[in-house]
Amino acid sequence: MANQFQFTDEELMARFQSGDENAYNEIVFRYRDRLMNFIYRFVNDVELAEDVLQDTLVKIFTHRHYYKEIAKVSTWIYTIAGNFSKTELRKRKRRKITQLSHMGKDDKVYEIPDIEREPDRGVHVQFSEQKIQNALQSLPSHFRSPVILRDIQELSYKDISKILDVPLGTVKSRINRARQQLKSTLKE
Amino acid sequence: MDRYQFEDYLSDYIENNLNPSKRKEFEEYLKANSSGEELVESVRELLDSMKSMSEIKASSGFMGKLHKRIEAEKNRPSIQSPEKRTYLGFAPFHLGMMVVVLIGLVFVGMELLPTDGTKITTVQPNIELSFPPDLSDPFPPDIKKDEMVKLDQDSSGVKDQDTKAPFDLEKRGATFVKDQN
Repeated sequence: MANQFQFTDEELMARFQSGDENAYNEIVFRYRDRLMNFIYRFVNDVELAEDVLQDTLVKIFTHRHYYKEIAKVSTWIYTIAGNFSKTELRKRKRRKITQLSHMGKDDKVYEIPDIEREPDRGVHVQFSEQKIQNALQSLPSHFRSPVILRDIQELSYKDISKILDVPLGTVKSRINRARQQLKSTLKE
Repeated sequence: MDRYQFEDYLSDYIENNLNPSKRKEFEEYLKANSSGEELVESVRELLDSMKSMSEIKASSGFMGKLHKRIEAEKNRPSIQSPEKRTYLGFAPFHLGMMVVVLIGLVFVGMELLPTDGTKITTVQPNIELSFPPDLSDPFPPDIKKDEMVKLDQDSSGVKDQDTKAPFDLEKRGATFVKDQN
């Protein structure tokens, strides 16, 4: 296999569309961790994030011909991941409501912490990160996704506007408000 | 600058996206309002913390699972490019349009058909021409045979044709009888 790093994402996608599966593997390699991070920060569950990541990467494979070079590959991929994340969260919310409605008076919900799957971090950092992660979950999803894409994924406002399909001004104002809301949540 | 404007420009100020005049205005507000300065600092800290958050990675078995699913997807017949997908040789959109038009035509046709079993008849105007019996002479009485030949020769020019119509039936005594039935 030729050194795939010589190709841009768009070139790799074109090669993949014409049947080169190595190009797909390279795309997966480039985006896997970035996407996992984005999805996890959005859904706040490692296993669910992994499922969503898998769905996203499979969709890139099966729907490769739907990608048109008018958009950046990264924008297209993040859009798919964002849509899957929102759908999964909605499903989970619905499941929770159904479970609660079927609970008896004496039933209790026990949450078992998954220590093995927790990322390896120092105690101090973990605390502040966990606080930020919780604060992120308190944001409505239309504030949460732009702020993750900007402040954790470090994407440009222009790309975020394309991914979320909202005007640039709206993205800027949502990020600005989300930051202030996060700051007040963390202060509490 | 008021508090609302200050909050609106907060991110632009932190990211250095304000033009010089707005930046000056913003900084003047900061000097006059210590709470504003605190807000700027705490948002800056938050952004630094978010940037330094650890990266969550997929588990070691993730790629294996993904490749298994990809193999399963490859064997599914439904994977086709949007351009290649056809039904009866037509693109889905075109086939859909054709079906809609066909259904529309059938519906309109059914609406036009009588439902009580009556026979459809068409009404045609019944016009009879009757001529007087002395029409054995093909030339009208007021036009000489030589003039007819001349008119035929001039037939390429249309300017005089309307003034002397050779077969004006009413002139020749024909009467129209309209059937009232």
